[in-house]
Amino acid sequence: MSTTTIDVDAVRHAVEGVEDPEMPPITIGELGMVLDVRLDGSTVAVEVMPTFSGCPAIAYIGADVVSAAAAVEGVTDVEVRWRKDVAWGPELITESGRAKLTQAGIAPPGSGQQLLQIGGVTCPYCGSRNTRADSPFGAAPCRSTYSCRDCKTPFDAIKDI
Amino acid sequence: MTIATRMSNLPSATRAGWTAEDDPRLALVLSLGDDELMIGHRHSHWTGVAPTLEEDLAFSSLAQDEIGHAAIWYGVAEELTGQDEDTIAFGRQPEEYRHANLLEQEPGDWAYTIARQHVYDLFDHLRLEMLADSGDATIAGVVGPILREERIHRAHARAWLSRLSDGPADGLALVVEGARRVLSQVGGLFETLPWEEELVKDGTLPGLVSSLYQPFVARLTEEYTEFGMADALDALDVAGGLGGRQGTHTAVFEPMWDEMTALFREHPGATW
Repeated sequence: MSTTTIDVDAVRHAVEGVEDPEMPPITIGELGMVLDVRLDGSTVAVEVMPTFSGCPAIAYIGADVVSAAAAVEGVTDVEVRWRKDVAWGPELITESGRAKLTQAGIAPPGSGQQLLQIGGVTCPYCGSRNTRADSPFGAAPCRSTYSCRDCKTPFDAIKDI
Repeated sequence: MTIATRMSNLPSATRAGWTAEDDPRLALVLSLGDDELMIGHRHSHWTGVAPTLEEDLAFSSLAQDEIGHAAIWYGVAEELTGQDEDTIAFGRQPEEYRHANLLEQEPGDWAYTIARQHVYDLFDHLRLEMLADSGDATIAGVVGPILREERIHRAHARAWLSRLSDGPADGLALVVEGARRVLSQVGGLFETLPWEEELVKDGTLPGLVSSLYQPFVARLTEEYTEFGMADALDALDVAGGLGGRQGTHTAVFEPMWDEMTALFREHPGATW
């Protein structure tokens, strides 16, 4: 009887490469959402956590994780488990994730922003720190709304929770 | 706790409604989920019609967060009962919901909305801090992510009250009036659940939820004083708005329930 060996590292790589549907091309690996990828018998078990618990993209991301893992040679069964007892935080975003966020016009966390306080966040368009916090809420549950006083561009920032 | 992803375009078999069995822990978890679902539904009223674009986004996000938290608690209930989350959320009859009656009230005006958001999130914060010490590992486990998100809700409410207290007198008078209406029903948040004492005995609850009333009043008094709203405090009524934890709701709940569960009832098994 022949058995196919599944390369778990390849599966992990594929899963971490799934793009966030609300912020492409940032991947869920770069956002720090992938907790564990392992083999459970012949089933690939993936543990992920949402950034925000009410994020409407969860179902889409889960389906994309299944497709990405199933594309790896030998994988037939994929089980995605959403951990709701682990707190995600913006500090989990990787360096490349931060760079891609900036490129996408979204300020990465930790650039000085504080809830409802004026200024400090670096504008992802012109790099100015002369920015204004307009609202702690934004276009997605994980984002806040800002605007730049220098280049006059409104932009989102990852919520500093 | 883990929750498996379900995603299918195929309707499953017709789902029947569901009646929760008499179980102290389930009653607690349902009260937590129901509170979040009802306030989330009422917050979502402002999507598209809030006074500013920022607040349109804010209340849409608040609603999304609260309904997300409801889904977490219903996920815990799913582990306890084997029922799926949607059936737990939408498959019950109106008298089987255990939320506080304050949370089912119509959104009213902006002043009432802000005052209620502030009061509920202050209460919820104290309750979550207590649940973090629950002897039930599943309950204690899910509190962390919820608390982290709730901090933004507290900041939102406080920022609005602060802004109103700095503004013209008529705005402050309206929010004091809204707060008085909220506080007259505040008792329902602290109402004792059936079997709640058993949960305290077995360590699921570090204390009765009603024991949070004094700390709540102390914090509220501090904040209302800071925001020039102390006049509203004499409307505090620990006996107001009772009944919800036992399933006795006010007249506004039935039409709300009807709207909220219509899709579940008319298209059994429908999925996104």
